[in-house]
Amino acid sequence: MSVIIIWTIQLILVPVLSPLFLGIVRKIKARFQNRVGASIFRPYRDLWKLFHKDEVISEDTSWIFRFAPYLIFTITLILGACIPLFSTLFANNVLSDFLTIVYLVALSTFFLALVGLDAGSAFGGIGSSREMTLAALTEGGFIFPFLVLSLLAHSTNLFSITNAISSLPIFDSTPIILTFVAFVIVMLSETAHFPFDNPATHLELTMVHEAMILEYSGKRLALIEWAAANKFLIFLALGANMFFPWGLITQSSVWAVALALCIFCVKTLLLATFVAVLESSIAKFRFFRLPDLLFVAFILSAMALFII
Amino acid sequence: MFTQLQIIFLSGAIIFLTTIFMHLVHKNSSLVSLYRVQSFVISALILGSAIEISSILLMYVAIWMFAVKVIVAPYFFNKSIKHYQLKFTSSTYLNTPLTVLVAALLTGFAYSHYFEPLTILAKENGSGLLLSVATILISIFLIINRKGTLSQMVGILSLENAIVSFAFLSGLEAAPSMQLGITFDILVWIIIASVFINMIQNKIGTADSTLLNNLKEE
Amino acid sequence: MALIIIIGTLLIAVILSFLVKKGSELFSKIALTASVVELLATLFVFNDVAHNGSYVLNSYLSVDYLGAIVMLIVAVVGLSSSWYSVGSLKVETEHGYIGFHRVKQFFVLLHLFMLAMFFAIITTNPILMWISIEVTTLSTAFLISFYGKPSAIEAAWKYLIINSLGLLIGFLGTLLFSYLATDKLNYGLLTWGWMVNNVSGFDPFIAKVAFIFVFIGYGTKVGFVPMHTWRPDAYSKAPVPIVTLLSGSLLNVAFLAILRFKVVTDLAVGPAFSGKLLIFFGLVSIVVPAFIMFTQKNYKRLLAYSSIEHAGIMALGFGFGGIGAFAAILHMLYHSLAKSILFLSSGNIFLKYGSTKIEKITGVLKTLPRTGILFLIGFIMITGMPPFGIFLTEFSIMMSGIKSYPLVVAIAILSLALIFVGFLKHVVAMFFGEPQKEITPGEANANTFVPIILLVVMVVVLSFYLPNILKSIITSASLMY
Repeated sequence: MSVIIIWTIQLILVPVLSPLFLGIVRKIKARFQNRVGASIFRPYRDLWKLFHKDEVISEDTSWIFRFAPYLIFTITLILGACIPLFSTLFANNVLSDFLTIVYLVALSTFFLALVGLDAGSAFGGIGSSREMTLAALTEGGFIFPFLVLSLLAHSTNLFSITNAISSLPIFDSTPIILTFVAFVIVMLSETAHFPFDNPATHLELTMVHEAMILEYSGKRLALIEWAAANKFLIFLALGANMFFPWGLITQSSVWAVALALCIFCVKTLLLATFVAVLESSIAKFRFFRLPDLLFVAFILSAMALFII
Repeated sequence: MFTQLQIIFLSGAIIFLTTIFMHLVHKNSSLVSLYRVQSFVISALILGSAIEISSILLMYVAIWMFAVKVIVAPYFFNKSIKHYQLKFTSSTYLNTPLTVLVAALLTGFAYSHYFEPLTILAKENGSGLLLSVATILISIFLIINRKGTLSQMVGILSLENAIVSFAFLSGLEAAPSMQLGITFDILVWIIIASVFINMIQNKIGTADSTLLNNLKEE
Repeated sequence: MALIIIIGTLLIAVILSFLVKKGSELFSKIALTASVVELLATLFVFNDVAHNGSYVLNSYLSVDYLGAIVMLIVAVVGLSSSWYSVGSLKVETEHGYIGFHRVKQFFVLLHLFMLAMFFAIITTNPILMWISIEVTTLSTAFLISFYGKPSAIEAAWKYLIINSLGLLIGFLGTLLFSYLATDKLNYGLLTWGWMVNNVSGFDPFIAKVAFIFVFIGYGTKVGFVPMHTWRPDAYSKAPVPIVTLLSGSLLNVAFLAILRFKVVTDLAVGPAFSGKLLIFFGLVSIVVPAFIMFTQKNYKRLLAYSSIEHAGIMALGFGFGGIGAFAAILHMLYHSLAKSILFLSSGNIFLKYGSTKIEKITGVLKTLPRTGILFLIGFIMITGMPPFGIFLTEFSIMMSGIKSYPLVVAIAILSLALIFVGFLKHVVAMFFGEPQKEITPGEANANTFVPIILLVVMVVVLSFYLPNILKSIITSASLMY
């Protein structure tokens, strides 16, 4: 019985909480800009509003346009279910492998890029080409931190990695810190935050992620925005739990679950605050500087490999 | 909470990380702050060792080192930065990814079999010693790579920090007289180098040392 | 006692020079008396070392054979430089190049420099030696930027950075050497003698790594290729007496540091390792300047490369060992004296012509007859022509190495020939021919060439007749290598 409850929580945690984190980040940024800002539950209302709106679909689009939002949203749901969020009870051997995670994310990016091209508008093309450039460079930086972690933990399963990392001696902490820095850079890139992309921009020439979804409206737009919020929370959870895996429960009592949920929220909140503060303090980089940054992330993880 | 060995290792790790970040930052003031962190860690180490051996002399040395490296030196630097508007130091010979690549290669070299036998110096802390060897190599690379005179100065001072951490990790913390002499030497060095930076700024107008064209005229 | 006199005199000289208000006559008197006292004290110490083996004041300050020779060289070069600087600074003050403050700065730093060099030779603790060599770096950095031109300041900065980097690496090596001391000495001061006696506990690998660091570190100060890049710039911008001291004394002191570590390393891992290192760097330091000297445009840089090349020859000699070591120590002596002749004469040329470019200098023999002849004699000496001493030492070094490293010796001889040709080309261009109209013939003042004459006399005499006392000390010194 308790296992069913925990499973349910694991399944719905990401979709339910992700708009909240989006709202929190926006609120912190608004505070930095001396505004009151919208309430942190605003994204939920936005999603509800979008679900009740009519859709307009261009006639020049293909089936990908209609099909992609469902695919992307489902991928984020699956990802949310198979990463360690608050417990290590589900050592699901196939889907919890880090390579699977990386390539599921790549699959969703691929379809998103296709969608941008699908409607035939110029802005979608800009967004897609930029996104693919960044995605190609980010992949190395994405895999290598996990590679370092799995070399330290002697396994590629995310749950076993978290188990192993939490019991490592302190002598192995240097590579973890180095790769964490690299992972943060990659997270910023994949979730379209500063310095890679401005999620609040309305200028099409500066968009990367937003440009690809310009043509969407109504419930498909809601799904895509929700999927983006899910992706953000997934990356936050990965960063918090893979590199600082203390607080994941192994038993299934009610108090343990509640405590683990609290710790999870605290950790991801800390990371989200960090992202918000970063967004408020630096400017978006010009596009030609981004490959340098991604390359630096990749090499930092390579350096961490040497130190193991 | 942590054993003494772990604390020493952690300090070595912090020094290593700060040196790598020195390569990545673009502002001079961040460079100086990173150096401050490094010096703080080093003087804390010496202080800890002084408390453990209960040597008053070593404690004086630690306090002296703290004063010189954490307070006086960054003060001189910040004064120069404010006075001459040396805000940014992003001029390097290699761009950032290549810099980090070379730093990674140097780290790999430090951990390779060439330096493996050196670990007998350190009893149990072998990987920490190799970490400080890597820090030394990366500091030398920092000096070579940077064009700005202030960053070269910080590079030399961070090299000195790295060597002290190497000495510490291999168990040579001894000889308070040695540390005293070295710190005094560093103080004089800093004063003289600051005077030089002022001279360069006055006469040549920038703190960018690629203007060595001046030397080629004759 | 004599050691205290040496240190004390220089300290007093520093303080007195610092306190002089106006009137440069006092400077020259202080400098000259200090240098003469140094020389006398050094001769006394030298004598003592020759008879007793080593001169020991206490466990912290002592002089051994090699230290005595280097100390003598430093004192002689110091005397000639101070004497010369009196004359040349007077000329420059008259022309208005520099003012009183600069002169005061010059003398204070000069004495500090000499003090640090002497201290480095007589101290027995490697760390104190390191500190005093660092002090020499710091004091000469200001002296290099003496004339205040932008290029001089940049040369001084380059010198400061490269030498500080090198000395820090040398410090790392020194630390590694003192690794084994801490368990056994319990915070006492480490001395060379102690290291030599307790060398059996050294791990050979660590000794090798430590020696490599020490070699590269102090080798930056000596100026082996590829750590030589500061040398041409610093030599061409600094005032001539300082350059003389840098080339004639500091080079030797830094070499002394390497050699002292070499003794310890040889006992730990056998002489082959350091020998190979010395031979490799020595050969490179001979070949590279040979090519560069051919195309030089500035005569002070030319002489700087010549210094690098001679440091290489000395390294070869010590690397070969045996007779080579004896010849290398003798070479040290001759080279310092001959190089001082060359530099001081070139200082005269600079005073007269106002430029360091070779193409601007013609007809020196007509305008500065005495300096010209002295320079020519120095040139013949330094390139190894018989019958002067350097020919003999270079020949002996090559001979000692020809059995085991014939290729190395062949390359070295070829490079030496190339150097001779290159140098000759420049000397002919400078010395013969007609001078320009504006340059009036005549020497500056007596102080600028009398010291050079004395040096020449010394070298000529020493080339033919080696006093027994000198011979015995050099032999005993070279026995260690």
